This record gives sequence, C-alpha cells and structure tokens, in this order.
Amino acid sequence: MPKESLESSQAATPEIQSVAQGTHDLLWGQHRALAISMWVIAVALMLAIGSIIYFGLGDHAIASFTMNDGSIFLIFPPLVIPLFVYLYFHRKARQEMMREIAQSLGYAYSPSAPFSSISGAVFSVGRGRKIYDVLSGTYRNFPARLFSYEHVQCSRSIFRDRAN
Amino acid sequence: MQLLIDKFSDHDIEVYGNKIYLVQTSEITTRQGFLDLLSLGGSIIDHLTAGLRSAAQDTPAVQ
Repeated sequence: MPKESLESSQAATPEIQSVAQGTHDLLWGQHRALAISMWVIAVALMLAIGSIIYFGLGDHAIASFTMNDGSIFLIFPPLVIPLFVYLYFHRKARQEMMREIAQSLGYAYSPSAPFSSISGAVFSVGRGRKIYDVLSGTYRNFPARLFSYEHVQCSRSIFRDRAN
Repeated sequence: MQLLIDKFSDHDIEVYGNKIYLVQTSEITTRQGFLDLLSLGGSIIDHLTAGLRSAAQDTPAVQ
C-alpha cells in the first residue's frame, strides 16, 4: 500500500476513547451481522425452550410454567451466547485501546506477561493472579510499566478484583 | 508533601526494593483514565527525583 494512502487510512481510523465505545464500534460497526445473528439465535432458542416447556411437556408443565416456582428462568440460559460474544469483543476493544495508547506513547504493548515479573505485598493476595495489557517503556530514563492486575478472592462469596 | 498525598489519595503506593508501584484499585475503562494514571506515575518519579536531588545537595560531603 502506498505510504500516502496508508497514512490517510490511519488518520481516518478513530481512536478508541473508551472500552465501551470500542466494543460498540466493533460489534455494531464491524461485526453487525454477527451481533444480530447472536441475538436472533438466542431469542430463537429462548422461544424454542419456552415452547417445549409450554407445549411439549403436558398439562403439568403448563401448570408449573409460572413465575412462582422460578421455572420461567429456564428460558434464559441462551442469553449466555450474546453475553460471551459481547465479552469477547469487550476484551478485544480493551486490547486495541491499550495498543493504541502504547503506540502513541512510544511504549511496547504485550497482551500478557509472566506473573513472576512483579513482586511486592500488594500482589500476594488471592488466587488466580495474572497481569495483562502490559505497556512497557521508559519515563525520564526510568523503566516503567503499566499493566492490569487481576486476582480472585475466595470467601463466602467469590468476586474478582481488578487493578491497573 | 501534603499536596502529593492529596493528589494520590485515591491510589495505593507501594515501594518494594527498587520498584515503586502505583495502584489504582478501580478498573480503568477509558483512554483518559490510563493517561491520567500514567501522568500520576510520572509525577511520583518527578517528586522523588527532585527530592533525592535536593537531599543530595543538602548532605555534607563525607570527609
């Protein structure tokens, strides 16, 4: 590709200002057919499951298919399909935004790095510790890194903590 | 010094060996958020280097 057209195409590409905006642009701008397909499949599966429960399992199923005993929630599992697609593009948008930031700062970007490359009390809590979206470079001749850190804390409830 | 503490009140700072960690516990989801964090990190390095330089000038040479 000629240099001029390459530069003009790069200039025409908008920067990702936020992960939400980047995810929206990816899903609705570049993968609209996939996004719509996922929702159509999910809704179709929900209708199919609802129909099977309502029409296919007899009077007892019809009687039990109510909000009272929670069986209505059996139709919702197909929603994980668009959810997984959204999370995939959310992650992709975040990586792309970090790559753009690294490029604008003259830093190197890496999607992940070995956990052994960091040390300190703040990184010794929880399980499943990992670092990702790593920007490496120098600031006033001092080596600097910016990364996201994630760990899982297990107690009565399980939740994830993220730090940047 | 108080200005520095106020500026970083939403963050944790840990010094470990020869490394300084600036930790923001809330997830950053915007470009500006990352740039602000980088700016804060730069401010820490600037303050520390200025402080070390000042301390070095105040310390009398060992005879």
